[in-house]
Amino acid sequence: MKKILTLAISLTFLLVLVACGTQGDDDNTISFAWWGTSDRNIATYQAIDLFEEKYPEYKVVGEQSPWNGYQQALNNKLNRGTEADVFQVNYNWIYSMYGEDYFMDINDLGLDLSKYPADEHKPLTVNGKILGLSVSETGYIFYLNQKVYEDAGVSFDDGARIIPETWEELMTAGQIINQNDPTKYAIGRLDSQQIAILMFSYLAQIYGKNVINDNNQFNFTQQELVEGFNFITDLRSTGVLIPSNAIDTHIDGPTNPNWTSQKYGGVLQWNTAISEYQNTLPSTANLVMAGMFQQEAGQTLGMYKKVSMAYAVSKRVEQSDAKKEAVKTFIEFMTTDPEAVAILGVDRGVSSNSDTQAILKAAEGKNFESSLEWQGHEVVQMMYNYQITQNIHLYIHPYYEHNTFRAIYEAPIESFLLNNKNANEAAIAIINLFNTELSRIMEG
Amino acid sequence: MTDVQLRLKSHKTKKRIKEGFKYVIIIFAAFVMLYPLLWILGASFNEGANESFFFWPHDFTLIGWKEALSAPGWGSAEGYSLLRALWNTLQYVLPHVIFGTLSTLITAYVITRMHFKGKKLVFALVIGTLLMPNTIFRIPMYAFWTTPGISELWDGNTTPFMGYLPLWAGSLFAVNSFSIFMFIQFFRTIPRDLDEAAYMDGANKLQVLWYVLLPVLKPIVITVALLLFIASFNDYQGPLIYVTSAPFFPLSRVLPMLGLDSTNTYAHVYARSIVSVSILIIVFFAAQRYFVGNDADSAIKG
Amino acid sequence: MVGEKKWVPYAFLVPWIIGFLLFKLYPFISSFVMSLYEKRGRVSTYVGLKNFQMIFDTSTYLGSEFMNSLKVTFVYVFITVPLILIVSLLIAYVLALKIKGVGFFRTSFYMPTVLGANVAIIVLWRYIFEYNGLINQGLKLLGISPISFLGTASGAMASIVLLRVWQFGSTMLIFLNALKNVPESLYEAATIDGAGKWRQFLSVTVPMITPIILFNGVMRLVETFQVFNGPMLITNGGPERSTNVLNKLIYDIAFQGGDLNVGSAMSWVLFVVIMIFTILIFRSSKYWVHYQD
Repeated sequence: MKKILTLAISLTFLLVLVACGTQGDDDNTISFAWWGTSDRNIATYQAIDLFEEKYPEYKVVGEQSPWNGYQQALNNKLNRGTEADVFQVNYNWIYSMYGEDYFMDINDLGLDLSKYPADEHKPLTVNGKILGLSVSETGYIFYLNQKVYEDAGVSFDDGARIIPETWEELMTAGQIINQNDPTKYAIGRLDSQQIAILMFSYLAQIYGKNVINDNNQFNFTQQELVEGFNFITDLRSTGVLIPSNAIDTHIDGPTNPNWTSQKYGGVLQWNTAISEYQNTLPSTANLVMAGMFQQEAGQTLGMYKKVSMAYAVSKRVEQSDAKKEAVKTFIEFMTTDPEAVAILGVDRGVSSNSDTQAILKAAEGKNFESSLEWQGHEVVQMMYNYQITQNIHLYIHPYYEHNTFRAIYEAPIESFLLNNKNANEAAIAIINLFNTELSRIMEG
Repeated sequence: MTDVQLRLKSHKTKKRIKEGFKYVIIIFAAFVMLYPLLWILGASFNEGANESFFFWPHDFTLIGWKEALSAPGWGSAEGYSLLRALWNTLQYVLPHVIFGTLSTLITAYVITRMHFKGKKLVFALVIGTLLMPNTIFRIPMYAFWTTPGISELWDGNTTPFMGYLPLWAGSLFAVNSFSIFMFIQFFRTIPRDLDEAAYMDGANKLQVLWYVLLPVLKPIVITVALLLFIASFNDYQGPLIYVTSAPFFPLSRVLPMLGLDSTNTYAHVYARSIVSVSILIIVFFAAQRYFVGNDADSAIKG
Repeated sequence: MVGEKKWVPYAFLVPWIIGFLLFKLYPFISSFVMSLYEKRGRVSTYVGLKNFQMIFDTSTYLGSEFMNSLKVTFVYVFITVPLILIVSLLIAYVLALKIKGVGFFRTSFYMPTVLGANVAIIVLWRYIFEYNGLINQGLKLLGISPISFLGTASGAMASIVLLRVWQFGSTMLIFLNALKNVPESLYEAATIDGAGKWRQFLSVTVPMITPIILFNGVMRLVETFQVFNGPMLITNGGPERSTNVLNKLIYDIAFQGGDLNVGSAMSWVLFVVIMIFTILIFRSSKYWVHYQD
């Protein structure tokens, strides 16, 4: 008897605890989730605090998260309906996470999209609904640690410049650096994701074609793809890249000891993600923006771009006008309030919103325009726009970065990088599955 | 020397060599086992990556240890520290251990000391579920805990312990068959006379368990509790799938991310890892005298 | 005892009954049911055995992944389990031979088991297996060229096997206790018969502890089939999926990718495989296990 009583009491106690603990959800509380590292987290919390100061009727619950596992967590939350009101997304998730069912049309919020370029939100539009607010655009850019080049005595144009401009110059630099010190490389280690974009950029320069054509099919022939792989082999035999990815298995770029001890002379990365690499370098390093190397001097080709990240809004926000108003105020604050923009800086990239850009340029003492992100951003935009005039369209396909799909082209590349497949075998492996898997993924 | 003396001498030397050989194997094995731990300890005092086999740090620094408990770099102004992660871990480890030990103890008690219809079936089911792989339960339980009605009970709940309900709820209901099994084996070694004597004095079932048997059961109770503690403390997949917001991250979610931020040096990473496992070490040594040598013996016989 | 109320035992049994029904029987049935469905967006449809057909069909992406994981897991299990049994038995045997400081050794062998399963230590093992990490540094001292553990298939498999075998302590303890219970008289009789130490080990020790070998073998088998932490944290299933064990694949599909249905189908196949091997071993035990009573 006693036992049953204790059981009953504990169960009731449990239920009381549970009831007390669950948080209420009201229209004046906005939950905001993002991924990032220290710098971004600190800045975001500062901006949030400022928002609450300026709009005391609202409260913001911030949810920081590391990048690793963010997508899985978001997926879970969307399934359970516990996602934040506003959350950061990769642009392609709008497609792979059944966007329409889960994300709200931001047109409904009444945000002013006129300050963005006309086509900015097209990639984020599904069935006429805009499912995310573009935070910034991004492209893959080379950044070089100039000190590595200087130390080896690399120079071009009779000493006028140190940074290479063409692939040939890059390979020359690689040979000089690597012969000088066999543990050093002009670039160093690139993983299969980076090699993929490198190859496709290189091929785009020669053939003017995007990886995936308008019929959602692989756009290069086997020969052309093999040419791309052979190019990578050239880079690996001229001291630009390490000869095999088996000798360096550090998967995280910024904390790779070879990078921090300045053995690797460069990195190929989204211009929005470069600050992490900069932060881990010692003060003797000199990281500079090097754009995209060209086939011949003076060209400006081979630049892919995409929306780097977007703010998506949960579909549940639709249900309440008061909530919509709150979310709209918050998003406008984070993207266009002068103080907030100055705090958040260019860590999430350079916004395409012209008002925001003006604020960034005018921010006193911050010097955003000379940051590596901004420099990269200008090059990306300049090159991309030039390509448009040449009728070359290199926008990243929405399914290009889909988790299961990307394994189709990244796995053979990884095999190639580990010297387990040669150029021919890797090319065949990619072409065999590419079209069928892409169409399977796109059907959902 | 005579023949006999010579033979005796060589026999003795042979014996000594054999003895020595034993020690060589053991010491070598122990070295291989423990050296990585020693190396990790040394590396926590070393600035930069330790690129040598020798564990002694060449760039001595205390910074990893000084900042061991503070915000792990991926943190922010809110300061998610290792202590916070430790508290988060305890929020599911403590209930798991306490409820798990109690519920399995009671179940084993009933199976070994009471008669009831279906006892054989229950026993068979306990043994049957003993070898059942956990993976078969994970997905449905996950689906259960994340259905919209139920997930509100625990997801994001800031009341202590409740935010981690899926990770310890099972322990309330004696789901750990191995613990039940160990208790059963141990109960069998305790003569019934003890119970009988207590009944004659008018005690009921619960009193017999609490006042008479528990003192005898102390070693096995501590053993079971220790095993539950270790398993729960080291659980990785559980927190990985259930705990998704940074403020709730327990140690096993925080630690794999330690190397990834630019504000950490290797010393930080190693020092923080050691601090995290120090709890395990402390608990282990405290419970060790009951544990080593006791459980397996009685558990496996029969 | 005679006057006891009949329902008392059942009252004590209530927690276990709830536990069995809610946490064992329900998920068991539910996971099979889930494997028969498919989900698109928010809608689930019954598809019968389609998921099972798909995962065994190597022409699909999921199929080739699953068959690869099956193969990889088998390799891992059938290398690791014998290795653990052999190493822990040998060490236990040596420890049982009156060693000075046996307590110290016992603890030092058991420590890795306790610590080694912890995420903190596993993460650090990654640094130890790096190309410039501890193990290769040690090899360098011995004049052997470095092994790329994390860059080659066999190296990566070796790294997760080593990680597990490093934790042989708990198995060793069980053997140690069993060894203690082998009667001295048997050894004495064997010595009188002129058997050497090694012969005694094979003909006296091993047969006497076969029940324990069976117990340890089955426990380790069931456990290693479900290995997760090592492949997840050290090798991430790579390189090139060479250590992508089943539990990791199931995690990727079900929890990362959100497809609980295919994940359930895979879990069921894993479950059936484990059950088959467990039964096989138990069946075979009548040929090689000697029970004392």
